[in-house]
Amino acid sequence: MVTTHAQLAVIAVNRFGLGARPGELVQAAKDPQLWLKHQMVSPQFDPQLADTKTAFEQFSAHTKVRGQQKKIAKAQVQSMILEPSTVDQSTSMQVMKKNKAMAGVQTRYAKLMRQMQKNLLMSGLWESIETTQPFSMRLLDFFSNHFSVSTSTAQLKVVAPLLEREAIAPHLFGHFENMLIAVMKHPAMLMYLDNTRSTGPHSKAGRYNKKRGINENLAREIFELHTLGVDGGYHIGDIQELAKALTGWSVSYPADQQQEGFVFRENLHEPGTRIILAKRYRHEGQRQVEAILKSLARHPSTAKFLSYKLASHFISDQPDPALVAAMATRWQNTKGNLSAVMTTLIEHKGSWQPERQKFKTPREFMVSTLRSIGLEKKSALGFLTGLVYHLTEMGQAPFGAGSPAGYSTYAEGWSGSDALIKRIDWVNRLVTVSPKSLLSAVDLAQQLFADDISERTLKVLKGAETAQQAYTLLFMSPEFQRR
Amino acid sequence: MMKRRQFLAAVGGSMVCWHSPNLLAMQIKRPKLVWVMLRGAMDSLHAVLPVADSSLMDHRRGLLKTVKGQATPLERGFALHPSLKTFAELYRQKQLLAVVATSSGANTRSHFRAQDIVESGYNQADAESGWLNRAVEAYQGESLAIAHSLPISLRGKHASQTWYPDHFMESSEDLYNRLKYLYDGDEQLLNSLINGLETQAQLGDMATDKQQQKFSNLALSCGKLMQANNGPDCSMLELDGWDTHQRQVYRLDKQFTELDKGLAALRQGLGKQWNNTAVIIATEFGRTVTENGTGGTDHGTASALFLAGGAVRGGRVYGQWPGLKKAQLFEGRDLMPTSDNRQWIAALLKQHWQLNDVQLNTIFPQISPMQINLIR
Repeated sequence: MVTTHAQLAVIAVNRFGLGARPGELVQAAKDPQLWLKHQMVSPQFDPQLADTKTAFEQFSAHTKVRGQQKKIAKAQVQSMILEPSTVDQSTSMQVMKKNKAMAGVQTRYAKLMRQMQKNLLMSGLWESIETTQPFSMRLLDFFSNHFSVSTSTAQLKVVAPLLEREAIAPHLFGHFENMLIAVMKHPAMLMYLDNTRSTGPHSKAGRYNKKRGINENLAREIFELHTLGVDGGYHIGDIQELAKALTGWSVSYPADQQQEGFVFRENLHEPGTRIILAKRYRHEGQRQVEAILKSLARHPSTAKFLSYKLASHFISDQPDPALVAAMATRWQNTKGNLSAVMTTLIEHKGSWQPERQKFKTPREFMVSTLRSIGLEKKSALGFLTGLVYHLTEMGQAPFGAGSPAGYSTYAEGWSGSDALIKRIDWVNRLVTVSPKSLLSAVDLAQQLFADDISERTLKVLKGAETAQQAYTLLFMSPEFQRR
Repeated sequence: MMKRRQFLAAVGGSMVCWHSPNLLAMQIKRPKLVWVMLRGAMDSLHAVLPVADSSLMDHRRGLLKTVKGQATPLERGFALHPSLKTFAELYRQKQLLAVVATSSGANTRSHFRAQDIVESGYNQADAESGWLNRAVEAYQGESLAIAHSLPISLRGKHASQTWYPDHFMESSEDLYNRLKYLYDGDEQLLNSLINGLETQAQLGDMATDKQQQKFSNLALSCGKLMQANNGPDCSMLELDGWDTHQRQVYRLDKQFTELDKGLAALRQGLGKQWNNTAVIIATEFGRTVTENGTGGTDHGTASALFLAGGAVRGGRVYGQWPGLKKAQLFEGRDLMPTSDNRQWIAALLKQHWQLNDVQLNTIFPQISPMQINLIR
């Protein structure tokens, strides 16, 4: 089958990108591959948003307040127990007043945290909806899910969404090892996978307090999920060794002079040489783990595992083995240079099969729908302020995978009957409240897919009862549900 | 036998099918099965405590501080965690049994790999074929997953439905009909749409607020859907959050309470059908016998399995106990498995659904069912 230039542009925009914003297809059609390559620079974010440093300042200020509050409550109870007769009206009133003020502080704090989280999650969505670099945003989504962290605790509510901004995005087109190190140093990962208090039995703290010990969680997931993959050829001994090396990798707040709140605690660190995958790593503080992560990032199993995962994220649930092999070879030849690996993905013919082979995830579906009608954050009112919530309803809450394995990238994960009904109901609601577009659904289809749309779909769009119903049908069409 | 989906197609997709008298007759005395998957590896030693094993305290003094003395005694020197109140009640009524020191058959300490293996029921994970799908296919029954999309357990050749509560308004009948036309020739989308609409119709006006997504409410809805005339023969529920690497005492208290309320709600939802039902509660693997440095436990090997329901011959604790002395542990750290979950499930399928050995062998190849009466 001959693929025309316009068809290639449709593939570039939908399969590699996040669906066309108005005019994007025309842009891409000039040179689809070049259009993608030009996007390969790290995305920039709104500098007004919270970062780990400000979040940690809030945490520590709050911890102080809570400490004071507990002290007061304790003193109050004590005095009443010890000498009930001496408790006069005025002192107890004073204590109560102070307590009330403290409670107010706590409510304000909780509100502030919620607001920070909401801003981060909403911005994350709108950045994808408005971006002119959809290809790099999609890659960011990939790695954010690859290094999945969930908002499982109060602190992670704010810190988890920062991982992709602070640790992943800066290295998006650099070497994978630098991203890996940055992610493992980020408080979100250290907190989420329980490494902050992991203590070597022969460390200073471990010898002093026998109750403290090693937590293997992070080390295990680094091997299984982040680098070599579960069949990558490592053993439980390798996990235990990495877990020992990782002791002392912790967080401190407020994040004073340390990078993003990371701190290496020598007194928790298990001393000694570590042997991992038959290679020795001398004891040299935090650099020991950095050296280990570098060799894991360059390992042939990592090259294969990540290449397969990338190809199945972008191209197909069953990617062309030749494409995966080409990416893995490029990975090994360039020591995991992501820019080079992504260039191979773009240039390989296995990436440009005309058939749509990926079922969109809820997030991809939501983002591409809102992109196609050209919505902007500043005009987002009413229904559109609930996007994060809607995504949760559709089963893909941002930073809510609840598992370090992240969300599924495969069709079975998202094409269930309930998931489909939710999409219909959401779109149906969206088209009744969104600002009216001037285009008809048929013209919009042309803007999204050029001529790459079936007779049946066109017939259904033309026969729709109302303009709004036609939109719903377009967004629910097989052409739009897959990419 | 006319399958419900064919029946629906025959009447043009209208949702009145469960008033049909012959279908109603068909439903009587069809034994029900509920499969509850606990994701994240439940610490069985914290659920079914081997209080008679003198080594227990050496391994996990801190973890047991709050539980000691409050657990419900079971037979053979075991005791149930105090938060498992409904479990205890059902045990007393001989409607619940526990199997200790069972493995899921997954030879890995990876959650995701192990869950896939448990769900597929083979020794190697097969994401395209789940054990419950093969079982319900052999039984020629209907199945439902309380989930956004189909878990591996129910994937395979036999069509299954999914349902999960939401808050979006429902779309119009006309729109759905147009979509059916649009999806003609697209099997994946068409099947999802038809199954989704069918489930929606069965639930009717059941409220769908945020509370509905709590496990106990999902279990309640699950029970209601199953007890409806022509409701599914089996269903699957999932509860995650069991990966207690730290603060296990607090977290498992919460988890057990949620699971326990869920089982109570399932019983309530099932109504009279409870007496006709067997519930299987399992997890992907157990946790380390010794408490770790952060008040929790790490990934282990053997765990426990629960069977509950009015159809179950309960009040028992099964499974050979391997002991907790260092030399008795698997790889020096985990509870040693002495049986395979699948042997118990196979026995249950044989007795509850009258599946034969040939059928059982397609569901769990080379697994021999336990020779114990698990069903009344």
